[in-house]
Amino acid sequence: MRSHRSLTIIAGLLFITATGATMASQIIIEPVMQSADLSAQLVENRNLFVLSGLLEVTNALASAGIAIALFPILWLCAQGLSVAYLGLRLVEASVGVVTAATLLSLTSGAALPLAHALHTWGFLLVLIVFSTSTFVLYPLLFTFRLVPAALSLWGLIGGAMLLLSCLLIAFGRIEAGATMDTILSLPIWINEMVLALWLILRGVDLTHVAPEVETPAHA
Amino acid sequence: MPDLAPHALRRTGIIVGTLFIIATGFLFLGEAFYKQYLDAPDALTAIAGNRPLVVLGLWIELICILSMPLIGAFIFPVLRLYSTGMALTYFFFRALEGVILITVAQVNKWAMVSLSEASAASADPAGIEAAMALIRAQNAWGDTAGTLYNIIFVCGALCLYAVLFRARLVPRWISVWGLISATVLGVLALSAVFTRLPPMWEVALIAPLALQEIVMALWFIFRGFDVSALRDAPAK
Repeated sequence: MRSHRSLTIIAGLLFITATGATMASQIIIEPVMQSADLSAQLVENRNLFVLSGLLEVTNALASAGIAIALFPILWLCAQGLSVAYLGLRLVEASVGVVTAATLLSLTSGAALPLAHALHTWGFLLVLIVFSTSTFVLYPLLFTFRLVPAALSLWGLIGGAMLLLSCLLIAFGRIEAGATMDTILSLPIWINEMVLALWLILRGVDLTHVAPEVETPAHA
Repeated sequence: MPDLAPHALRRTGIIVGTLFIIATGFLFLGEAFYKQYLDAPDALTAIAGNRPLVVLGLWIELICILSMPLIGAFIFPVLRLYSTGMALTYFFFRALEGVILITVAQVNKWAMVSLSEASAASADPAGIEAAMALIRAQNAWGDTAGTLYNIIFVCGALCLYAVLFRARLVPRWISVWGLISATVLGVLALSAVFTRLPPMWEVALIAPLALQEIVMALWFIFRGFDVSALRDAPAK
């Protein structure tokens, strides 16, 4: 059980890192990206693009790290779902790194429309894969009462709201970064921060997990 | 030999079978919505005029793509009963399919939607045409009909069918059918690099595997995995 305690602290810190990096990256790059003259911005604010790209990579690595840190715990609850969560977050991380590369490639100043389009959609795809992963994590947390039920339900609803926001953006109903997008995205981001604090301060409650005859993955 | 509870094994069969049907079915369903517009000679105007259909098709295809790593994940505990290494290898290949199809094929196709809008706003037509050409060239390799994707897919498929065959998890006619079809697809994908195959040949050679996946999926759903051979075998 001691090892689980350190794993939940790592997972919590990575949750904060992932959410913080994404938020910071968005705050830095959004106003610049929406400027009418992107090539002028690239000359003036080159370092902002680089910083934002590095923050996106940080988010990608932390996302995969969360699933890796939680894996031994989730494996005790449900083997298939634990690997599913790992798989989705690894895919998310891979898409995230490539998307960061498109943002950094903007700084070359060449092929701006393509790099801009690839970054816009790559970032949306990261969010879509991420929201899909919440449909694996939160039902697991809820079913086995690893954290308080309210926290799991909140996460599940928040994940669904983020997916809805991505759908609306893809169909061109709302703009990324618009008020509606912010309203739909906030619940899951706040939930992740609360969940992170819970994981760091309280850890997970494994008393509802039936002792399996199966040997744990990390044994 | 560690064992899965019978109800867990049964549930896994239903989940994996359903995911296989989604992976195969949604691939064709998604293409039915978007392919004609993306492949049109004047793709930029075709996409701009039919954005909702293109976006819907791409969403359906994304569901298909996300089901690939999930297949590798949910079948992991079953394959692990035979070999943890093989289970991990299969999971790796299926996750890699998801990675290449999203980072290359999907994001490129989504970018075409943005480029069609930029084109409608008549911004830098030469640059946009060059971008479209680059996207087409990349997707010729990395999209679902591309050689790079097919090599990864065949590696995963051979890994799965080998375990199904050795461990007799399903009747051997299903796993042998899969082994043969996957080998044929692999040879086809590689030869397509060197020679231009007529399109109907590709369909004819992919069909056996698509059909096999559906039959296997139905078997997983209605009959499940047979672990009796594993249970009788001495532990490795």
